Formats: sequence, structure tokens, C-alpha cells
Amino acid sequence: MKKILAIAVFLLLLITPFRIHAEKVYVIDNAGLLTAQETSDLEEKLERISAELQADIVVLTESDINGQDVVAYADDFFDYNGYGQGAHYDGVLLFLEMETRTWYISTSGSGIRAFTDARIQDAGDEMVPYLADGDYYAAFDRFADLAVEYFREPIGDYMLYDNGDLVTFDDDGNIVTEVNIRDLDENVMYAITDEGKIVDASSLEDPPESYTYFMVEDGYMYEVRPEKPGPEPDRSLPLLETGVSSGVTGLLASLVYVSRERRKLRSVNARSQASEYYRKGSMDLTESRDIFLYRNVSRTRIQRTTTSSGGHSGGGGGGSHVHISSSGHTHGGGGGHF
Amino acid sequence: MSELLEYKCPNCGGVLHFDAQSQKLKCLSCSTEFDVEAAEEYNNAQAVNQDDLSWLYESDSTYKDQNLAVYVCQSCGGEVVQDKTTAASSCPFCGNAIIVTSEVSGELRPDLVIPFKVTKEDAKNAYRKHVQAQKLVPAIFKKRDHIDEIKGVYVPFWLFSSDVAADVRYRAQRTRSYSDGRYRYVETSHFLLKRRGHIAFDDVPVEGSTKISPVLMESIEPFDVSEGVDFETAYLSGYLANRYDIGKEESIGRANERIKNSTESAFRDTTAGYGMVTTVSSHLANTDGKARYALLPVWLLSTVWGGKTYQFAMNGQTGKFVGDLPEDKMLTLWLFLRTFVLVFLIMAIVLIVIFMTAR
Repeated sequence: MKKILAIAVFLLLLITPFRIHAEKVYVIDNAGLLTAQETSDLEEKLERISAELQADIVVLTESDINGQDVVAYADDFFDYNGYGQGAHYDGVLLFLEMETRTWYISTSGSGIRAFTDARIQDAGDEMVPYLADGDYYAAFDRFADLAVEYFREPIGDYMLYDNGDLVTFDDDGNIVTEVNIRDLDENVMYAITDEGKIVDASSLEDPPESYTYFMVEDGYMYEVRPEKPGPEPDRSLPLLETGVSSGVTGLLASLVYVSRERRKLRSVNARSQASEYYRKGSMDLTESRDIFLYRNVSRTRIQRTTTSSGGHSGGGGGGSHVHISSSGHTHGGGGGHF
Repeated sequence: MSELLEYKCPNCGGVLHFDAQSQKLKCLSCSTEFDVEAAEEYNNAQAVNQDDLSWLYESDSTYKDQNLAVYVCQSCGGEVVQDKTTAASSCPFCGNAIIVTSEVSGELRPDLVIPFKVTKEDAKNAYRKHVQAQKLVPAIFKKRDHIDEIKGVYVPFWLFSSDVAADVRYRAQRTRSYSDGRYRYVETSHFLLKRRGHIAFDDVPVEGSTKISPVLMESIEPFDVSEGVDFETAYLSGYLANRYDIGKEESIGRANERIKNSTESAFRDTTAGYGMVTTVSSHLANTDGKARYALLPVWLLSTVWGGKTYQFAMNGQTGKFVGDLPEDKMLTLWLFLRTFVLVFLIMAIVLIVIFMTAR
């Protein structure tokens, strides 16, 4: 008997790797924006990249959350449904609320450094035309591709909490400094180095592009661009520009003037009308009708300029505003409307 | 049957010409002025004898050309050959004014004449002003002085008056643009506009001689027909005159064309609030149409330059002067170059000054 039990348990253990476990769902389309096929394709893609990036990439849609706070809703959904990989709950959630036509990206763990505030807005700019057009699958697909791009090259240099706590990272994502911005001097330009140190930017001879530069003013932190001294501007007269502008003006003026003089040579013209011979007061309309025939409407799509997402990687990183959600976890995020 | 008429001064027997300044007949020899009617009365008494004399001479004529007629000048006896349609001219030998009354009487009698108000001196001055002010006319052309050849001519015109009943249809468009954030919309509404009514025109002139350019005559319009008077041959004395050789039936086409254009334009002015309005069809019918035959005063000058004929005309009533002028291409080029260089330098200096002070 014991032997049979042992074999049974052994066999059971063998097939354990093949057990069906409750898997995470990466596409939660409560608003019903996608077809079954689209849901399935997207689910498969998000599952694949979440495994590759070791961060959960999730898409959530709701038709109406009855006025609840979008930020809290997104954060809570992520936290209370067990999303986020690793010790820091790495991941990112894209949330669409249809009633208010809001999109919101919630970041967690390594997602905070991958999707900085600037990158969140870039992602929004790219998705909104598709969302506005009702092409939701295309928007989510683009989100997935951006997630891959951003997670592979996380550039966030800092996290700023609502209470002013500033946490800086080095290029590998390790926390280096923790200060509060109230303890920093106002109206001084600071730089966050690649190593995550906060230094006075004026001490830098040649401010590198890869640092993040910021100033504190009135208790707020602002990212800035450093002024490059650059080479001495050319103080000499721009000969070419002067010559060309004068030349063009001269050409226009002489063309206009000469045409006028040439036209003065002609004074003999036939008269196509007899208006001087109209007997004053003789005009009298017996019938005057304006009849509407038909109407045409043509429309053109308004082009929205999209910024390339590649513009920010490699440059001064920038960072993210973060907050602590109801679960006690730290989240970054940003959103907009479509 | 032709009659030659020469107005003689009752005072000294000299030649009488119509003087534009005084609006009377003035003697070239003794400068006495006479009212037109008075001179007419005086000359009517002389007419009878002249009749027989010219009859006698014309039968000897050797010219067979249909378009020409031969007359004998009463003052010097010279043979004057001129176009059949010429009603007034001057003898090439003695300068006497000749009026061929048969060309302006009976069916050919004008209903109206506007006497010359502008003198030859005015005409010459106007020509000089017209030409001297031009920058692109060849210098030699400006110097040439054929001005004395300027001729005062009574040009034959048909004056058409008509009450018109018109029915005009137009197509019109109105556009509206708006956007909703995603798309920009352009809405175009199309309309058919109907206008029916009456409109009248008085004395629309159409020039009636094949010898004079109609476009040139249209260019010196308008004439103020209210200053016209009943025709008297005396007004022609001292000037050239042609009678019409384009009939009123042939001329009415041009008058109708101009009246039609004016009507369509006047009715179009009653439409409002549309972007583009174009005439689709128009139907005009003349009622109460009248035609008058008038002789209108014009100063004419013709000159040849570079193989082309340039014609100048001045309205003998209003003084309006027109005439196309030849262009000297070298002068044009020179004007272009010096304007270009001048503006170029000014612009360059201005830019340099701005640049310096902005530093």
C-alpha cells in the first residue's frame, strides 16, 4: 500500500510542472473595445514581453468608474491583483476610462525609471490619434512596443515624492541619494550625475548631456536645460543674407515699377459695359429669388505632430513624480484625454 | 447730287470756321464772330447759285472709282478728290472749308451734333503732356513734331437708347468652415439665383465709320449727350467730318453686347452674402428701342513709328486723351537696372545700419 502511494505521489510530482496554474491576465477589456481575436493577440504579446522584460505590462479598460479617481483606480488595480514582478513590483499599467475618455499610465518598480514623466507624455501623444479614431488595438499595440523600448533603456534619474523627498539613481537603477528638495538651495541649478550624485551644475565646466538638470523654486522642482557656452557667435556682418535680401527687394521693386511704367503706355481699351449710359433709377426687379440647390461637405483630418520616442533615450534622463498608493507601494504615472 | 458749302463771312467775305472757344462761327480774316443760325441764314441765300456750278463740273469727272467723289473748290477752282463719305473737309490747295451738304441731308442728316468744346491748341498741349510724362517712349519719337497734323473730325456715331426687360440666372456658392478637434470641415452650399426686371440705357454710342477705329472711339468715352444740339451744317465748318458707312442694324450688335454685360452686372449687384457668383444664362429683350445718328467731336492724330501706326484721339468735348505709345526696350532695361541698383543700395545700407545698432 505504501509503495503504491509513494509511486502515486512520485508520478504526481512528475506532472507538477505541467499543472495548470492561475496565470496572470494582461488584457482586461471591461469596456469591450477589442474583438475576441484582438484580445487574444494582445494577450499573447503582452504575456511574451512581460516574461522577456521581467516586468508586467498590463492593459485595463473600463466603460465607467462612476467618478472614482483614475490614479487610485489604476494603482489599486495593479497592486491588489498581484501585478508586478520581483521585489519592487516591476511593471506598467495602461488604463482607459471611456466615460471621461481618459488614458492613464501607472508605473511601478523598474517601470518608474522606464516610463519617466516625459516618456509617459510621449507615449500618450502617440496613442491619442488612434484612440480618438477608435482604433484601440493599434494604440495598445503601440503601447506594448514602447514598453519594450523603454524598459530596455530605462533612463529615469530620480523619483520625486509628493512630500518633496527626492531619490536619485545611478545608471544601473541603484538608489544613491535621498534628500528633500526643501533642503536644497533655491535658484541654483543642480545636476544629477550618471552616478546619481547631486551636484551644483555651475561647477561643471562642460555639462554633459546625459545628466539631468533641475532647479528648486517655491518648493517645486523644475527640470531645465543647461546653457551651453558654445563658441563665440560670429559678430561679423552676414554678407550673404544682406546681399540676398537687398537683391530680392531690388528685384521686386524694379519689376513692379517697370510694369507700372509699361502699363502707362497703353490707354486704348474697348469698353465692355455701358454703365455710364444707365438711366438712373430705371432699374426695377420684378422677381428676385435665391434657390438652394445642394450642399457638399468635405473634411480633412487634423494632423497631430508626434514626437519620436527615440528622442529622449541617451539624452539627459529626466525623472518621475511618484506617490504612495493605498497599498503602500510607490507608483509613478501620468495621463491625458482623448 | 452733291453740293459744296462754304461759309463766307458777311463782313469781309473771308472763310468762316466754327470756333470751339466761343461756340460761334469766326472769320479767319477779320475775326468777327457770328451766331450759327445767323451764318446759316446768310449762306442759304448763296446756296442756289452754287448748285448749278458744281453740277456742271462734276459731269466732266474722269475718276471712275466708286468710293471717291470729285468736287470743285469754289474759291480756287481746284479739283478736290475725296472719299464719298467725307462730309466736311478743306481744300488742299487754298485751305477753304468745304462742306458736302448732300452727305448730311435727307436720310443722312444727323439727329444731333456735339460741337467742339476743346480747341486745337488744347489738343496739341494734351498730346505733348501725354507723351512727355512717359519714361519708356523713345526720345526721337518724343521730339517728332507732327502735332500740327492733328485733325478735328466729327465722327459719326449711332446712339442707342432702350428699355430692357431682362431675365438673368446666376450660380452662387457659399462656404462655411468649422472643426471639431479631429477633423476640419468645409461645407459648400450651391444656389441658383433668379433675377427678373427692367433696366434702361440712354444713348449708348457705337461708332459708325469703317475709317475710324472703334476701340479708339470707345476709349475716349463718355460723351455728354445732353450738350448735343440740333444739327446745323455750320458747325462743321473748319473741321473734317465723315458720314456713317456702317448702318444702325450692323451697329446694334455692339450696343446690345455692352447693354447685356451692364445688365448682368447690375442685377448681380443685387445679390449679397455669396462667395462666387457667375452668370449661367441671360435673356434680354429690347422694348422702346431708339437709335439716333450723331456727329461727335474728336481730335485725331496718326503717326508711324517702326513700321507700326500709332493713333491718338482726344474727346473734343471732355478733353480725354488716349493713345498707345511705342516702347523703347533699351529705356525699359535701363530703367529696370537703375531702379534695381538704387533699391539694392538703399536696402543694403538700411540692413547694415540696423545690424550695427542692434549689436
